[in-house]
Amino acid sequence: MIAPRGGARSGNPSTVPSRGSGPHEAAHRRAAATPRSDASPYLDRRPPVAALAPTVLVAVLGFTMAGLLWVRQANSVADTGRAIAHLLERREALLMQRAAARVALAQATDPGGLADRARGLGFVPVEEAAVEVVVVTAAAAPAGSAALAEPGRRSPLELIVPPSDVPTADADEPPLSAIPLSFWQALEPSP
Amino acid sequence: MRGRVDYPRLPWLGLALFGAMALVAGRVVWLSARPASAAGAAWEPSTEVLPQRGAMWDRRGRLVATESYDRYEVILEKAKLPDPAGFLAAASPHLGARADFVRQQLDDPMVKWVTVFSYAQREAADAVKALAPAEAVFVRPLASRHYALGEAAGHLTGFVDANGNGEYGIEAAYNAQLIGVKGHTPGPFGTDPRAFVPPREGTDLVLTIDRDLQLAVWRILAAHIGTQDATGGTVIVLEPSTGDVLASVSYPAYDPNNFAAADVNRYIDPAVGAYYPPGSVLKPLSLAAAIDGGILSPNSTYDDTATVFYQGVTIPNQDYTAHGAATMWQMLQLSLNVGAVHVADTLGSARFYRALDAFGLGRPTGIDVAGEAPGMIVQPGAEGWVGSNFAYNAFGQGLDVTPLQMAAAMATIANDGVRMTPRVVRQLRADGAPPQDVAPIPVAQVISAATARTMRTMLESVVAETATGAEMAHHTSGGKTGTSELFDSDGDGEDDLIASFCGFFPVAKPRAVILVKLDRPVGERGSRVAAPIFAEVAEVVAGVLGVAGDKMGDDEQ
Repeated sequence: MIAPRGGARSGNPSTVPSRGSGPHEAAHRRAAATPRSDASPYLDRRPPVAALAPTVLVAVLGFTMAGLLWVRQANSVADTGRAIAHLLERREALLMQRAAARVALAQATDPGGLADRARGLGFVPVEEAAVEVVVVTAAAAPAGSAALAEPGRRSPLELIVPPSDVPTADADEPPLSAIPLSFWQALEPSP
Repeated sequence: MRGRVDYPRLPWLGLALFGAMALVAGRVVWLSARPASAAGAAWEPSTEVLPQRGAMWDRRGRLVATESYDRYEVILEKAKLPDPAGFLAAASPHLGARADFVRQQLDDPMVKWVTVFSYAQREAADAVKALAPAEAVFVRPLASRHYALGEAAGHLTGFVDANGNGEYGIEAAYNAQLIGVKGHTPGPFGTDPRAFVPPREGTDLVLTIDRDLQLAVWRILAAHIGTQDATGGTVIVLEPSTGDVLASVSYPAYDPNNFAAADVNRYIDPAVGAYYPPGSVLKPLSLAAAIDGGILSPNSTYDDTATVFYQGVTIPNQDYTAHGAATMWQMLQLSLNVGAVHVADTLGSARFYRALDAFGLGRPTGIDVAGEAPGMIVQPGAEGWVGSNFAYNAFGQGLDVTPLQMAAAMATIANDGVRMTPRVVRQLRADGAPPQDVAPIPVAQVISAATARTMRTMLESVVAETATGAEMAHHTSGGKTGTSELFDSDGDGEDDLIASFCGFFPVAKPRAVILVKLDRPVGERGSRVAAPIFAEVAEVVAGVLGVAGDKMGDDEQ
């Protein structure tokens, strides 16, 4: 039988040794040191419920806190992981879009493609006979009027060429056809 | 009897714990089982995150090569395919030779997934996709390489093989930078940020070439190959002050966009990987060494006797004519072999070969493309050396160089005697890092600036007097022709000729060095065949670089 906790304070004279009673105290000590044969020594050592409850509560709270932390951590990890996975998908899609845009741009600026498009629009390679060279002399220009207009606002026809700088016809001057007038000639060498 | 102890809140605690555990378990299941996207796309089984290969841009920022995603992998899930036989019958026209493989895979009960296409074009992928239920077919775009210039720059760029590795040219030389660094994810069902390693995209390259110039030069060369009935040819345009390769084309070429269809022998870039005897183009180099050493001067004379007997062989002038007391000017203008032997003999074999070495002949130039060959110059005392080698070498026969070596040597004269390492990449643009310029690399001051200027003047006189086909409309130009012999290289019983011209413009401060080489042309001599191509290319280069004319008093901009 389990002795109720606090029994020592019940005032039972048979169980409370009196101070100074030498033979009774020695007998009680012997009785306490000798385990009773009808009770488990483990059950005997279990603390009373009132002492167990706070421990259980702390343990439960501790586990709950740890669990919540773990859940929060796992949530965070999972959310970040999913965000990374989505960003990787997004990255792949953007890389593909960028590559497609680059290819399209390269094809759009390809000289051969541009030539074809220009031809389709009715443009043709410039011919030497179609080029008219206009030389504007400074015969009527006042002195010091080289800068007639602000830089950047000057049209080609406002260009004043001093008479001394007007090129003269030179028999050794190469024909205009020897000078590539545009990439048309470079891309389409004349037969 | 023992007393019973009650724990009235214990069931509630247990319930709360169970609920929390259920929430956790549910969350885990939800995270694990939910597909990656709302569209229900399958997760990638791979744990690697592949970087995108770097692009190539020309010197003005126009695309040369980039990744493209116009090839597709098509996979079928057999369990979700209701009528495999019907699918196969309908898809066979699109499958072509792969139909048998797909039939075999569909019939095999052990196979759950069938790769219908591993590298298909969009039309075929779309056609097959339309024949199967949407949930049974997966189409995944694959990275492939797009080369904007196609065969016009195939030798220079190289290509990327099926494993994603660069082969030949720039792709191989800069494979480590272009390919980037793979990233890693922990598994197929999610990405744990703690184990995630992001990929580092491949580094973009800014090349030294000009895309328009490359294309224009390619078309010029191809046109002349046709009119001259030549078997091949090379044109290299170098910027002498930096060693930049502005254009480099060779014919026959291959299209790197479809490299698998090309003859593998065409993969090697003849501009850097093929040998040829330079012929008379070599003569300015030995003369420059002699003038620089004070051994000869431009006005030094020798007795030109039409032929010279040297170490058991007779070397004739190409015109078989004796020119009497000829100056070095005449030796270059008329390309006199007897004079070239005189120059080399005066210089001495040790200094002659040291000069060739200093100009970079017989060794790799160090250009940053893969597959560069060193050339072959047999030095005195080496195995196979005979005394007559020296006489032949004096006018560019009996030794082999690459076209780039010859162009770089001429660029040394154009660059006031400073030899630069040729390069094709001028800037690296790594992912997330500031652009990194690739500095020009000077190799050595081979000859003095004064000697270089003298040589340029002498070479200008060559164009003015004999190689008139190389004259430009508004720019001064100089250079040297070369006609070298290949001893029956094609096995038709006759020796073959290589016509070449290597020159520069403008003479005072050259902006470009251009080498033109035609293999086995009908017109034979370099002055008649290659010099006009030089002029044609040079005019385009002048336009692209904006080089103002320096003839007739024109000032350079």
